[in-house]
Amino acid sequence: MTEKKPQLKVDQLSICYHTKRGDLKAVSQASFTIDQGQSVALIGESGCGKTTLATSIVDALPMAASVTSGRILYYQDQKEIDLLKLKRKDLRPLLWSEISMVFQASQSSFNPVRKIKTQFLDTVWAHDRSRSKEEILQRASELLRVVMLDPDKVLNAYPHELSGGMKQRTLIALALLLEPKLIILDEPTTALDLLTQEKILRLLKELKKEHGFSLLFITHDLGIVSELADKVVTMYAGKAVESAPVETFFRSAEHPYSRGLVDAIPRLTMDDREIVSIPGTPPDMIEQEIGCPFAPRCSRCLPVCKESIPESKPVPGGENWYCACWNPMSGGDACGNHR
Amino acid sequence: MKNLSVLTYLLKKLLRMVLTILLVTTIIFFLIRLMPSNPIDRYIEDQMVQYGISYAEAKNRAATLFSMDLDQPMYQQYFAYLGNVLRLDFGDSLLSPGVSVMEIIATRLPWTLFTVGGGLILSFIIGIVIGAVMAFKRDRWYEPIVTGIASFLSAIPDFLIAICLILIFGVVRWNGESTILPIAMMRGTYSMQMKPGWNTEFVLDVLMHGMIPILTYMLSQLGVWVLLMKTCTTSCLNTDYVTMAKIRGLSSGKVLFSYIGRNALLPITTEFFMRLGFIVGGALIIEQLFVYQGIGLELLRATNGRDYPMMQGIFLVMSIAIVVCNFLAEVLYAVLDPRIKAGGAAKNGK
Repeated sequence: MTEKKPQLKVDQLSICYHTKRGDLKAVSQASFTIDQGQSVALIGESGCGKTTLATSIVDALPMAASVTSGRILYYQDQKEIDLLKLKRKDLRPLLWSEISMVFQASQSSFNPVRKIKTQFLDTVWAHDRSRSKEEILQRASELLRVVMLDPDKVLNAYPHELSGGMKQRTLIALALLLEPKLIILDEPTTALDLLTQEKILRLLKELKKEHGFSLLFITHDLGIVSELADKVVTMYAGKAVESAPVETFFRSAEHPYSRGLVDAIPRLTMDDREIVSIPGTPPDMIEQEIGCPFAPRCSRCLPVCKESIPESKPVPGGENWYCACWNPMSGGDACGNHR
Repeated sequence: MKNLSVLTYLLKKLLRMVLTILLVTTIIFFLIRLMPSNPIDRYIEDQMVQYGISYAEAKNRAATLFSMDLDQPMYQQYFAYLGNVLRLDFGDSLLSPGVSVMEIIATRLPWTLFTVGGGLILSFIIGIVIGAVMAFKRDRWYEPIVTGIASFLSAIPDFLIAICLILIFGVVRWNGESTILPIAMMRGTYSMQMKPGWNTEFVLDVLMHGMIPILTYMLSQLGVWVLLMKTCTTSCLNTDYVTMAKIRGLSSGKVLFSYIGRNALLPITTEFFMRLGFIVGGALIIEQLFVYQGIGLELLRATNGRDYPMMQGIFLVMSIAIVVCNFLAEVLYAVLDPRIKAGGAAKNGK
């Protein structure tokens, strides 16, 4: 593990969508930390608030959503900045030069009527007017070569002339253009075939080693997690229920939900009846019941689970390991602490 | 290679445009002759009613007046007409003997272009600004009101707007003494005593006379632009590339013009050019309401008198304008949107 200075700290963050039926709490009091140079995977079922959380970091929440409480702390040269308190004009210089993001929908992330070249130039000039066109294109070409694309062809192409995988890789190159300290990848490989997926993962690993940026990536694919992550944050119904180092996560996840996710991975050595899925469906996020949101689906549910929400606590004996559960997998410890 | 494909594309297009115009001309030629009555009968009727002369006498007068022989078989007339058109001879007006059709069109057309074109451009500019603003202010209380008014304006016919404007500005005496505008003085294209020329007095007079027709056209078109621009901008606002541009830290001005505006204007520009073709046709009812001496009023007069050459001439100019503007819209769209290449269009368009 690298040095332990934090790069980004999400602290008790809550985000609401205002819908006709009422407020939908997409993220509720989620907390986790990304250290410098660390790669954090954010996992969980569809609709559990992963993307909402990630977009709130770069101030790209949809109009209907708003942050109701919490802080997002970003560390820039020892300085602690609360991104949520920044005005747009103060946040703008940080975006992309400090934090960049590769979107889930990278297929349509480029302006369809302008050449890729122009969009690279626009991005740099938005932050630094003094750099010359040649210099920027030179750098862009280098990065495009790194992601195994032909720079001359890509730079002079319009977005529709590139394939899906090419666009994805172009976007990764664009994300690296200003050498940010933190890159957010929202399902970076979902739209791609396995070979391209593999290529991009290997690429990200190498680039990370070379440039030393931090990575926050969202995925459903635990295979990618095992390959790329240093730390895994499990989200369930808008809450960060467990945060654990990657080996710990796969070996002995504490939260029953995390364990359920790990158990649902098919393995070569087992026959298909042994794949265990988690029964039930995620809860209604508008009319939330009291108690742990996972309780109705949990096999280790205790009476207390239906009465109050467990808080995130360090797991005894674990380092950088937090879990929010009344009755974690390792036994009655957390349970016994209660009342 | 690329130039060659563009050239063949343009040639194909040109050929197709010529064919379209020829087809339209042919249809119009026969259609107007299928209308009941004909110019000579109309003239004879007119003479008999006006001067109380006998049918034979009236027919005699008509024969000396009209050089046209309507007893010829229709196909012969048609080919004679086509031949003349190819020599750019569109004949003389029947109602104003001795004056060529093109001469009349040349004097009438500028007025229509001025009023209808002015109205179109004004409504376009005002409409896209309002539409874009409404797209950004979707959550404000006044947005449904503005959108409602826009829907209302685009739904009611233009002559109704014209009548309302006449009532508001020229009939009702709001303060009990006089109307807002001396509407009776504002008939026609300019005041009788004026001498046409490029001087302030005349220009002001023309503007005064054109004001209400322009306002009418503007209002009748405004709603469409507002709604169209609002829809296009809203759909652009929600696109990933706009979100992405913001995340990339681009300034809001850059996002507004290069990302939202540039894409929202694509379908609207096409629509604008297609409508541009229709301004030559004018608006018959409005020009009649305001007694505005434009091409629409002339067409109405020609139709009433069955002035065949005049009608043919006006319809020909109209169809050329529409076909050319459609072509311009297509070319412009290909220029503005790289996803539609001229070469590709030639391949698909055959």
